[in-house]
Amino acid sequence: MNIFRSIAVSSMRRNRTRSIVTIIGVILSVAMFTAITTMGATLLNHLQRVAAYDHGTYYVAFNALPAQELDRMRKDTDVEMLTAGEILGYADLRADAALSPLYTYVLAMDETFPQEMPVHLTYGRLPQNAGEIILPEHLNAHLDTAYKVGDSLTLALGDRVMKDGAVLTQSDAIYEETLRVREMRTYSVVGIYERPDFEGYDDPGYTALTVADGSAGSGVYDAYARTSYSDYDRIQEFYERYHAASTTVNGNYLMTQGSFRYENYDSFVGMFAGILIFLIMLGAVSLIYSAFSISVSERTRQFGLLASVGATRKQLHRTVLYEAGVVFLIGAPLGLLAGVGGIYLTLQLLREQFLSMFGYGITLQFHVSAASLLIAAAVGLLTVLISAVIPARRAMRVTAIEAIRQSRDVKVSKRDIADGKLAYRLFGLPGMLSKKYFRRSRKKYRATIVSLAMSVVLFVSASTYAMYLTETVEVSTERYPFDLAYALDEITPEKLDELTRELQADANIDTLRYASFASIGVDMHDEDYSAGFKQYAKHALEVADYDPRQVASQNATIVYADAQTFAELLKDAGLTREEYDKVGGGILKAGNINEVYYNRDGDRRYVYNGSVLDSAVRELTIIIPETPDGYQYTHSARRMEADGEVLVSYYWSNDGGEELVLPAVTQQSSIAGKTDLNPIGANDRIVLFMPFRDAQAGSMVQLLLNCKDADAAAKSLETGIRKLGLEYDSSAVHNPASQKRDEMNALTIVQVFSYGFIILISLICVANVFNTVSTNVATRRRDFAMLRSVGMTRGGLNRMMNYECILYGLRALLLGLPLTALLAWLMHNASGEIYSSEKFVSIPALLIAVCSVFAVVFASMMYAMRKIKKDNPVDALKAENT
Amino acid sequence: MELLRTEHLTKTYGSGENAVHALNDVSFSIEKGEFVAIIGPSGSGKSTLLHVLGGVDKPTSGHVYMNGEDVYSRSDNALAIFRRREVGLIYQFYNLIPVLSVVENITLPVLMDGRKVNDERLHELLRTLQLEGREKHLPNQLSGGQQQRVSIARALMNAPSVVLADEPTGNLDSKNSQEIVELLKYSNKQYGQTLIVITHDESIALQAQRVIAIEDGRITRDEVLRK
Repeated sequence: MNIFRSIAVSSMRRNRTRSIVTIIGVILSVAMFTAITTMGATLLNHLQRVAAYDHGTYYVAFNALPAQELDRMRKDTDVEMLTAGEILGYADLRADAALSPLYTYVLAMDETFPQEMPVHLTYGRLPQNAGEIILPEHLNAHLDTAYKVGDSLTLALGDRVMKDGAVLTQSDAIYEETLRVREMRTYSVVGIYERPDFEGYDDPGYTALTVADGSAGSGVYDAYARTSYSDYDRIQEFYERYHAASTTVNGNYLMTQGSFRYENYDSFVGMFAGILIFLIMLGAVSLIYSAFSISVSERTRQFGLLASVGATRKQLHRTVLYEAGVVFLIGAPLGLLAGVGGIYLTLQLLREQFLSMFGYGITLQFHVSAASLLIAAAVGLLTVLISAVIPARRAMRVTAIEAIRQSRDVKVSKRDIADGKLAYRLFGLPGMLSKKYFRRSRKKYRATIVSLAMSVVLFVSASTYAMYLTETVEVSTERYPFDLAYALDEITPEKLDELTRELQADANIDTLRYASFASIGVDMHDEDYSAGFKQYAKHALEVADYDPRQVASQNATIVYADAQTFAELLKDAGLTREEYDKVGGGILKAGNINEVYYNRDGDRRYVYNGSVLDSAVRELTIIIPETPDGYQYTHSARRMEADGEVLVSYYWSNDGGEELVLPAVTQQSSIAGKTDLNPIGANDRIVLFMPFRDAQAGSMVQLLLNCKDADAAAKSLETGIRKLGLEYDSSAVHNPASQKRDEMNALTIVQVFSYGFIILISLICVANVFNTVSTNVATRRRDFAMLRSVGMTRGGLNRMMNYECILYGLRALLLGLPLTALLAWLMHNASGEIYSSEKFVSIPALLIAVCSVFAVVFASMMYAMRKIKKDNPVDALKAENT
Repeated sequence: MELLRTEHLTKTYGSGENAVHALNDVSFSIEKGEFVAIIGPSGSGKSTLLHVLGGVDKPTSGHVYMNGEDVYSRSDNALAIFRRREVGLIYQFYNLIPVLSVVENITLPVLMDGRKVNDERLHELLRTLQLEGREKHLPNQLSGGQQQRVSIARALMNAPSVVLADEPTGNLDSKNSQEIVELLKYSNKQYGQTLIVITHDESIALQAQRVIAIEDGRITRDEVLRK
């Protein structure tokens, strides 16, 4: 071994504790880098798999591609994957000339089609021969009688042809066209599958899938190709080589493949990981840097000696680099292992949570890539090199003789010495001494204090954020009178009956209610308002120039409740069915307005807790809008005409953003009775309950279930709905319990990762504090002996070190707490828009942080002083004298 | 009047065959106001003796009596207080606290004792030791001779019963050495300060009133030069 290497190794051995702490620092930082890159790789991999599941693994879709073009494409070397379905044609399942056609679009899949394309069965199996077919769910939803597995289906397959003979494809909407039937085929239905993503929302035909049997079809294909490259421009160049009716780029999948024109997940995940890596690097560099700079400054004298006997700077430089290399080679493999293992374990432990967070058919799977490990190792190496090279450079600048005399290290300038009078008055001599020592070494401690402060900021902010999240989750899921809700779109009364009968038979479901809602306005006259509300309105007008009474009409909701629920409401209102039938109208539930308001000067506080309606009101002028087809209600406004007549107009808008203004259709509705029950969970200021039979036909129906197990109920709901041949839309389910559980799970994941991250960063920081403190103490060994020999007691020595600890702790908190407060304030303000939290910052986290800071500093100091205390002052004095 | 007396002092490092007897049955007594030089070759046990006298290094056996009291029968704390009140130590390498100024270093034992600094004495010492104008300087802004003068001032500040100096001139040139010796002698005469100095330097030893020679941990010669 060359002499410089053995010097490096022996000096590492001599300072075993520090070497070990430094290696731990490298392990921790490499582990964290690895954890981040592995998590990034896992997430990217997950996104890819989800995208592949939802959208298929192709890059370009070619609609209606002729056979010879397909053959040409098969020979294209740029193509990595190619799957195609031969277009067998359209069949009109409605076959009623008076109605617009209801097409099914039959594709004969090739072998790889089900693997590469998003074909997901909900029932049955995939077709195995040309006589079998699977149908999409949404086709069934549009049929009066749904097809089931085992049904036989005869289709008159053909082309959609325009008057001029042009053949239409899936990319052409339904025009004036005829179906030119080519052949009759009979299929047996073997499966139902989810609405396929490769079918556009406005495509005219619902895609049914069978398999090719080799016999001649149309000779035209829908082909899906993946190129060996993911560059958008090259992909464009690729698809322009072929002539298809239309081409579509699968942007959703491409986005996860690393390159897309505008956005891709790679760069998003990369940026996020980059920020984290930067933060960790900051912590790690400060630790490893300080360890190396201590080692180097201790060895400047040794370097000076070596230089004086002829060692070149390069050789000395290499000694330090060698030490860095040894540290890295020991630490990095352990760090990689720990990082990968840590993420693997975390994912295992959080499997449940991830399942609920990514509730697809796809679960998050642990994924390591060579690139992620390489990046982590490279960043780790960079960290170690930066940390080692800078102190080495500094050491090299010292001349040999300076180094031997160590004049640079002993240098203390006037500026560095505090006068310590206050500390003396407060804490006596030990206080003054500690203050002076603290000032003297404040440069050494700066990194320590900054990293301690950063730990405090990170920890408290993350806890505060978690606290806010927890509160939101709890607040947002507490106020529902049901366990499960489902919004049924376009259901016939017969199907609704069938569904409710079936669900009521389910032992798990305790009660079942359903209702339709109508958002209406109530035309208010001055005498309709309650006195309290009028007063509130006056104040509001005075203070904010806002008159709640002038805002069009009051918003209200009519709830068309099912017979049983309505009967309960009648009973509560003290009415019999006959009495109600005589009067008609609705049962009023007046929501309480709970407003706190102030007068103009802001010195008087009022609370109005009551209804908007005067209790004497017996009849309401309600404005029931007739919904124009394709439009949605936005708001209403009223305007006073010159003759004093008030006109109310309703505003509607469609998906395209076009607005329609219709005059109000008003009608009188009497208040048959009043109730305080709210079984449906309607929250308007005025709610009118009416029987379900009065609801507008075809309006959306809310199913509300009280049940023992919401998840099981959701399953039976799904089965029931599918059985009716209706499309089950999982986004129409409102399951407060599972929503809360999902949110809590997401919260747990966020917490596990953020706390894991913060704890690791804090560990690096602790190691840093430990190193700095123990080195500082070690270099002052002679000073301590000196003080002892002139008569400082052990108690005095302890006091001095305690004051020093307090100073470090206070400094760190002085820096960390205002930053924490600032961050918490920003978070509080940002979250204030969504909900208001009473608490500003997480107090337990704050206490833990403050205590930990002092605990870390004191523990390090105690460990460092352990040796010193045993010292015989004479030995220490003698040792340094040579 | 007897100030200091040792009885059968022994200090052994190690044990068994490896045992080294730094001090071997050393007994002597020193009068108040005496200026004693201890001489001997390296490793003879001079420094050990001085540290044992100064209450920083506990003897393996034997006793040290100061003003009739057994020094090592005291508790750890009492020993520290004894050191700060009764003993002034001067080292070859000064051992000043680098973060403290000249005045702060000098007054350290007083401050440690929690007493008020006697400004008159401080200024007298500063004047005598030619440190006026350097009160606020830090040790590394001073020359070796100046630093040693600061450490002498520190040793004298508390008017201790005895000043113990371990090669006080070992690190200084001859001019500075002579100055330091003059100062020590001056304090001995002026304040009647009892003084024990370890030295290699024959010329310094000859200026003392009494010379004790040590070899292999034993007193080989104890000679009163002048009264």
